[in-house]
Amino acid sequence: MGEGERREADGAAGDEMLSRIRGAIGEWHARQSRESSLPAVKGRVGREIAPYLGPRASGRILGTVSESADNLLSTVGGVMSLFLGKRAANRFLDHVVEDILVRS
Amino acid sequence: MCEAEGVSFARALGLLPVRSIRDTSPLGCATFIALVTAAHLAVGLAVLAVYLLSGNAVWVEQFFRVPGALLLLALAGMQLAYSFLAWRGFDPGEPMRAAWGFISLAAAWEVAGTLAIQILSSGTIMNPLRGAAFWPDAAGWIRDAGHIAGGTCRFACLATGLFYALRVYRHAGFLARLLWPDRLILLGLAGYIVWEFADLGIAIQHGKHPAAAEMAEWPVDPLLWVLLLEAMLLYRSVRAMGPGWIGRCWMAFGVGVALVSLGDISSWAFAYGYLRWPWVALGWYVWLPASAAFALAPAYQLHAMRAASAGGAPTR
Repeated sequence: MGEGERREADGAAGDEMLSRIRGAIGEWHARQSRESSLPAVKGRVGREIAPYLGPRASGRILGTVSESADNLLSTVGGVMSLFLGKRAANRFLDHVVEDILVRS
Repeated sequence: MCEAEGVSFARALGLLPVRSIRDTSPLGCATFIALVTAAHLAVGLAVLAVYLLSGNAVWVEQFFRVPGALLLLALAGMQLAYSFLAWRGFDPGEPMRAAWGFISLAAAWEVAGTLAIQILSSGTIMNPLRGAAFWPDAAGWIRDAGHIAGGTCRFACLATGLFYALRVYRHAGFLARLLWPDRLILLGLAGYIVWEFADLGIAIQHGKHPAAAEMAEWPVDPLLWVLLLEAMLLYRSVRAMGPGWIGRCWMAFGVGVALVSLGDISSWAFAYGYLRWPWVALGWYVWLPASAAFALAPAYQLHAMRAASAGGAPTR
């Protein structure tokens, strides 16, 4: 391999490494923002349900939600359904999903 | 306030059927209920003051015969309309549907009782039966039937409805415990009921022959004790959850039950000579805010359901 070919190969390897580093940085940023937005989302959901159930009740409900918030909607929806009925609770959850979870 | 939402006054008063949940403005009507009741109470207490100064009881009697009677009937009608709408907001199989079903039944008994006592057995011009040949003989049993409907039947249904509501609170993990002041009050009320039945026993031993209608009303006070127990559990549970619109509904039931208990105790005290005229008249006024509280409760529930359906926070 000549000098020029070696420089080209080194440049391509460097570009590839740089691309991998950039990709890793991007993934790290996405993970950080997702994890840091979960408490904010839970807080906003809590503020939505507090006028109905009361602030202490909403705090207790959100305390049972997992860290990844996988069961946020089912937990909140279950309690709201008990007191307001499934129809009203489902429409309420539609609003929560649209205004808070999608736009956050 | 109800008309601002495009609802006729008659529908808002529960005198005409409501087409759908969108027809009513529950929060506007809740404010209307509170204001009208407060106005009636103010006039009523002014009338009581006039009687105390003049010694002429006709003022108080006329207040309860006409404006007071109309308010009680209107509040009972609103209670029924809103309770029925709340019941319709739950699907079959949902736990709260049973609660609101029994609460609606209780409201229906209340309407029947109020109609019988305040209108159909009264000698006022509001009574369409007043001119009928059978009315003078029938007025007594119409009144008795009204007391049974608005007493035993109504409280039995209401106690069942609140029981189902407490089951929901327990299922949600929000059912609180009674504190020692609550237990003390319940113990005191239990003592009053025992004393009352002891008085009754003594009266029977001395020759009193209670009529069937009177015996049909004996369960009222034990039912009120159960209702007060339920109201206290709801009150403690709502307090533990913090202020919210759902809690306002059940708190209003608690206030209504407490006021009805107070009115019942004053009636008993007067009947057995522990309370004399005119002080017993103060007990009559308790029935107005009690009826308002029972009408407000389903209005708050409906407001919460409508606000949730609209996806916004309920306004204050």
